[in-house]
Amino acid sequence: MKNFFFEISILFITAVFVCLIVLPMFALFTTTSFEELIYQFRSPVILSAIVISLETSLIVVFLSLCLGIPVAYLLAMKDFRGKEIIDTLVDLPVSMPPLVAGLALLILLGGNSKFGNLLSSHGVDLIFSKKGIIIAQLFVSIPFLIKSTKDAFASINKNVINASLTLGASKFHTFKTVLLPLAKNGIYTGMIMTWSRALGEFGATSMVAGCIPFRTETMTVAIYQNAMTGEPAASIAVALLLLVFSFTLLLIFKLRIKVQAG
Amino acid sequence: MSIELKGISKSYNGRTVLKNLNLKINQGEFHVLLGPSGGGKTTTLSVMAGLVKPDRGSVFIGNKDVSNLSPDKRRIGYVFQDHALFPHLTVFENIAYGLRLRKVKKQEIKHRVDYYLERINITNEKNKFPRHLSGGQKQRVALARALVIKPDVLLMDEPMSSLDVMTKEIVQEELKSIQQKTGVTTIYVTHDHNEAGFLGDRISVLDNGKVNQIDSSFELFQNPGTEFRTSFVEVKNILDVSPVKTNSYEATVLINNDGLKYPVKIRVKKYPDVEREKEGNLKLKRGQV
Ligand SMILES: Nc1ncnc2c1ncn2[C@@H]1O[C@H](COP(=O)(O)OP(=O)(O)O)[C@@H](O)[C@H]1O
Ligand SMILES: [Mg+2]
Repeated sequence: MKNFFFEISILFITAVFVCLIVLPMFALFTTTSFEELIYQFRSPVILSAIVISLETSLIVVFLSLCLGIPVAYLLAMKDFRGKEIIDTLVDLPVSMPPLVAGLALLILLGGNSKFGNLLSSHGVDLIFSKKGIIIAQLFVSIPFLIKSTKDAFASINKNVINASLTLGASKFHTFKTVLLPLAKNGIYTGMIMTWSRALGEFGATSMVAGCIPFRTETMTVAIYQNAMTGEPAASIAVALLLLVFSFTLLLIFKLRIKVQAG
Repeated sequence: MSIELKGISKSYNGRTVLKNLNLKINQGEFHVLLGPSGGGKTTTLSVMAGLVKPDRGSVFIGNKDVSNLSPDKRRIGYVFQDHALFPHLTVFENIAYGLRLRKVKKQEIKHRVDYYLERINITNEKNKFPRHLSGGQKQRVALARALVIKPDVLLMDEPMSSLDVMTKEIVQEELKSIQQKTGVTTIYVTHDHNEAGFLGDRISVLDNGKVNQIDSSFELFQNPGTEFRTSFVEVKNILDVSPVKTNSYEATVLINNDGLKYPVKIRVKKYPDVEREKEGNLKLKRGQV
């Protein structure tokens, strides 16, 4: 009898969890009509938000590769003083609330700081610009690429790398022909996670870049703006599209893991 | 070419692994480096190859001091204990890797790789990836990959340790004949006396960071040095041994087995575990000596 109640409770709790996730999704998908969606996606300000989001997040993925792979290499392959510090720095943006990250960036890059002044005196204005969005997204999402790539590098048999060296390859050539191909899956996984994080980023972005339609309004910002100003239909349209993106990424992610395992 | 270690010292985190080690291996010699696990054999090879930087001492290949050369400049062939084949490259590409780096012409690469594929009897597997090879095949590919670049010195780190006895014997024969044919100076690391006796022109014993004894294999087995520790001998079979001196914990015995051509004096630990079989014969199990 006790067993029976235990099992029932587990099922009941699971059902609560499923409702928690599914009901909001259901609400989102059923409150609007197809025609309404089409109408919204024709609106220039919505289209611009979609373009800005895709543009910035893809640039972020590219930049995170350029910055993240060398850092991952260093952390995985080298032993040096202060390695723990860099390791912690990689974890920091993930555990930090995005709004706090945004505030920190705003203070650093804003007109009131020396650094911000120096930049704007050279004609570089990062605040309230697309560049600001990119920096904010990069800040919060690059750790995913670094961690995933680092783990991939670290799991490569050291002797395979040594074999390449003794066969006459330089460290750089070994990096190109052995490390990168063998870390490929880890790098792809990191890219997908970074992209999905950048696409969904709201807190840091809105702090640094504000919500200027046609200039700095990303999809997430558009959702917030429209919902707050009594335009739920526009919000819903963007939200649905964002969901489609993240579902697709999640699916690719799961499939990759399956392929790797099988 | 000859290879020489002069006064090599190496310690890890304050623990000394190699202590002022001197070792000279002659041109064309098949040299076996024997020693217990953890005795610093891999470290010695890594120092030779430039993969590990010694705290002190220098490495000479031929008459040239290569101490400051990086591994890719030392012209060394290295066969790793775990084969370390490139998992993302086919057998053919694994062997061709060093040749491509040397900008050898395509036709010549094919010619030289095919020669080794045939030599090690693995032509049918040339388009397979390493994960589809047996242990013995991987071993042979690793050997071919190291030899095809015509290295000045060939280093082999316990290459047979993962092979079963049958395969081991075949690969040993092959290795011996390839080495004789190419005449490449070879340093072969093992902890197996049988193997050492079969393969080595000369054998040296690495223990406690020092080369304890360096002799022809014949001399080694004839006159084991004073405190020659053999705790690393792996006894796989019942050995035909005659005890020389015994007490309740230790026995000094002479081995007269077929596999070993010469009697070896070993010290048996944990004497109570050693079963008396016949008069003068002791049954030893792995790890008891
Ligand atoms: N990179 C390393 N860092 C710390 N200790 C090491 C390292 N490499 C080897 N050692 C230690 O040095 C000793 C000798 O190792 P090794 O040369 O691999 O011995 P062998 O090959 O004879 O088994 C061992 O105690 C091992 O733990
Ligand atoms: Mg070893």
